Amino acid sequence: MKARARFILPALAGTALAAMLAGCGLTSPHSPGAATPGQNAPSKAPAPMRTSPSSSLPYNMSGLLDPTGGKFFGVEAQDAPALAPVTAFAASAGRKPDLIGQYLAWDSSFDSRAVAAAWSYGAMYYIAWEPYDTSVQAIADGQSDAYIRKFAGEVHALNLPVAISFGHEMNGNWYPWGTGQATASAFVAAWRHIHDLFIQAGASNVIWVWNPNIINPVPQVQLSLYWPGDAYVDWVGVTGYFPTTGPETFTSVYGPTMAEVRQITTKPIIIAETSVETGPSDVQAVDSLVSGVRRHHRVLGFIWFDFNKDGVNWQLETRPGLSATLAADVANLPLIDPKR
Amino acid sequence: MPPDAETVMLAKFAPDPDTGPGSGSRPADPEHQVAKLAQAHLAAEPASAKNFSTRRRAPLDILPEDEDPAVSTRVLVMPRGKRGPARFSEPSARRTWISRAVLAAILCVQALLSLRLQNTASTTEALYLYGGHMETGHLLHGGSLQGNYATYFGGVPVLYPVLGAAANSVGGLDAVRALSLLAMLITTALLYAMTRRLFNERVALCAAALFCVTVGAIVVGHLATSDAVSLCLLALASWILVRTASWHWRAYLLAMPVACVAAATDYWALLYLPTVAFLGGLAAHPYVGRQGLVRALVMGGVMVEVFAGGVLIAGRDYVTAAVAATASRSAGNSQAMRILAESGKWGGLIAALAVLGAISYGNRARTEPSERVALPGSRGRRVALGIVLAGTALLTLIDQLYLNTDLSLDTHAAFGLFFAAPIAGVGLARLIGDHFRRVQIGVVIWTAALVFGISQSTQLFGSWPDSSSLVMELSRYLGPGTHYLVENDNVAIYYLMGNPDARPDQFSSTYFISYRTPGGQVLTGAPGYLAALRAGYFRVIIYDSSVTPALDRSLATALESNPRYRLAGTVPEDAPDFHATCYVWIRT
Repeated sequence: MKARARFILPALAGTALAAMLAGCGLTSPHSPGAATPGQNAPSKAPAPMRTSPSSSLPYNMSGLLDPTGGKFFGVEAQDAPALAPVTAFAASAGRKPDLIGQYLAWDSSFDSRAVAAAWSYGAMYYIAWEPYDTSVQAIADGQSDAYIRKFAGEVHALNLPVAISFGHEMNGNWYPWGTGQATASAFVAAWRHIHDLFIQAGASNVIWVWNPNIINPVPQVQLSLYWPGDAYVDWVGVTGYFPTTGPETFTSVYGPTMAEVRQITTKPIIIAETSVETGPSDVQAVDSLVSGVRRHHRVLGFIWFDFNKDGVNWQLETRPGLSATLAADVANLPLIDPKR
Repeated sequence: MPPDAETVMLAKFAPDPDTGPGSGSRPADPEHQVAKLAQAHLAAEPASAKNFSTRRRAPLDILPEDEDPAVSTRVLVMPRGKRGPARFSEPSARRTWISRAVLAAILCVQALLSLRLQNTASTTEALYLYGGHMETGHLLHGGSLQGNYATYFGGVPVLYPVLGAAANSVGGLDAVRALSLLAMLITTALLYAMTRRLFNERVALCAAALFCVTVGAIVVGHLATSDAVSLCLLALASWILVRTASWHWRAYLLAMPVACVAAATDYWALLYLPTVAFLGGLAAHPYVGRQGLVRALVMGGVMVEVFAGGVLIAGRDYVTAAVAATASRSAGNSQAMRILAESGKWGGLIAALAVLGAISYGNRARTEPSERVALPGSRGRRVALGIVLAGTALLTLIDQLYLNTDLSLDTHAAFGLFFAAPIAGVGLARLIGDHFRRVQIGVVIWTAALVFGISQSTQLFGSWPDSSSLVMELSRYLGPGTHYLVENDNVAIYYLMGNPDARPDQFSSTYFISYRTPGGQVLTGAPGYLAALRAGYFRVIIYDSSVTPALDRSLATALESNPRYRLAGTVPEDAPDFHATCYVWIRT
């Protein structure tokens, strides 16, 4: 009996000690993190908070919503999201772009690695989200909610700034979401629906870019009908090219559209898709593009469409003369550092 | 023997004539006899002999350890000089030091259990601390207050909040929590000291060991709220009453201001003033007989009157707050079953031991015949003591049921368990048995209490989310003279104190707003918030649907379509039992 008691007592005491140690170390859900300074530290200030905020705080987008002090020099390169074409473009242009674009078909996954790679390169990612194989009405009706929520969740989880342009050139009739197959109200409803799902997912790290085509070829379409509202848009993107049929200038290409946009909103404008077709006035067009961007303080920059598509070569790398001109023009253009 | 002899030899106990005709066939209750003899001697003593004396005496109330109490010839050591007739017998120095060493170990365990808890300031802590800073500024420099604290603080605003703010100024939240820990360690030490005076060292150690691992003691000892200081003062008042039980009645006066300050520090302590008073009376009963009960009634009445008079003099605001804290929390909507379940979870084990202790102590004063115990008094007194102590554990439950809320039940439970712990210690000591025959049972019970205490305190202290990220996120968007709507603004105000762009008057919570429109119309409630939102009144709006979900849904809908605001980010709020997402909107 005594022998058993001698065994039981230490065993129970050991159990108690183990329980206490377990409680002290293992069951506590709040292990103190690295000490970081508090907000302010006057004599009456509370104790510093423990958790390091850098890894858990949402990306502070306030500096990107209406950036000042620089311009975006972007590129939409073929074979995205590979960075090789971007580096080739940068070599031709003489400067690294700070915005890298990609066309992404509906139901494609969000490529967080591409965004992160671009960010490491020093550029913000710009997604032209194309609702192929669906309709804006179906999106507005919630038929793509699962896909959108998943996409938004992944964007939120990445916690890096991403520009998203849904249904670009909606005022043209050449895309399924354009004037030929969709109504303006359905487009607006789809836009707001997507936006709200992103909000619900907490994806505040998105810059929403509403991107009509320049109105020159479609003057009869009222842009205001397609406008989702200031609460749903951060930037206005404008698509407009300098064709070989020139001569064209920044003002002639974008002026009428910018004037109509200004009747709708004061949001900043970015030339979201542009390039210069080979022709007699291509050099002047490049000069006008860059000088126009530089001159208009509410124009955030431009994104070069660096594709060889449908028999038209918009690529810079294969046109040494044009690339030299562009390089010279952007050499002194103050660029935005998205990471700043 | 001469009348002034230091010892009086007494014959074997005769049947107690008060116990009725049937009692002659059984031995009288020996403790009752001792008390009666002591009282009789007191009555025969000259008045001068009833006064105090500091001279140490041999034990009166302790049976010789080698004698059978039922048959032995008792030796009562009668005091001489200014001391009362019966008094507490100090144990041997060895026993005292061993007990103190064990008590020190118990206090170390308690400190360890409290210090292991980690979290940012809770809403209540933040409210009391920044309120304390505001009160301090108001008292010293005439600064303005953020609201009338007297109407809704759970204690007088110039007491604990100011004390807490002073500690906060010295060492931040950790210093305030250290203050609470110190108060709770003193409380446990006083519990030990009080219990050894009521029973003996073994029971006192059992009581302290049980109390120190209760979730209430652990959590309150690491919470920067008024509970710990208030309970400590209540414990001090109780100890004074027990310690001075054999002294002149004037010694009781020492406890009254302490008890009143305890109740003023935290109005919840008001509920326990009757217990304190009855405890004092019952502690004195073996020494002064029924006069002890008279003392209890008078003392209890005077304490309540003093406190009530104080708050009435202080103003209606204090009365409102005191009543709201203790008797009319009409906003409570907790289900009775939930309150019962939580009460059982927080203190069921000690309550069960207390009931066991009360029954066994009423039945028998000693675990073993030779056990050295404090003067137990009559069976009636023992039963009454058991009922008062064990019943106080139920007082918290009863009041919470009456208030229909489980708000602060966890911390309030500590008050009831403090009083239940001594008699629970008796219960535990009885289970362990004489000469530690069943020590395994004691170890198992204490281990169970320890495991419950650890797991429950961990759960409780993690029941609110770490606010570090949210405060850091908010701090990005501060601006001079701007306004912030934060669902639970106390924590943000507290952590941003000292920032000139985050003064308390710049914050609004989702509880209440009184917004004056540009047209001069004053709006409250949801219309007020939505009007302010439309006007861009708030620079930052933060909600997490934790407190006012209906209003938050309205705000979310309005914000999503408001071009002046943009979602700046979301901050996850994760705690073991709480998961939410904080939405941060900024005015662009």
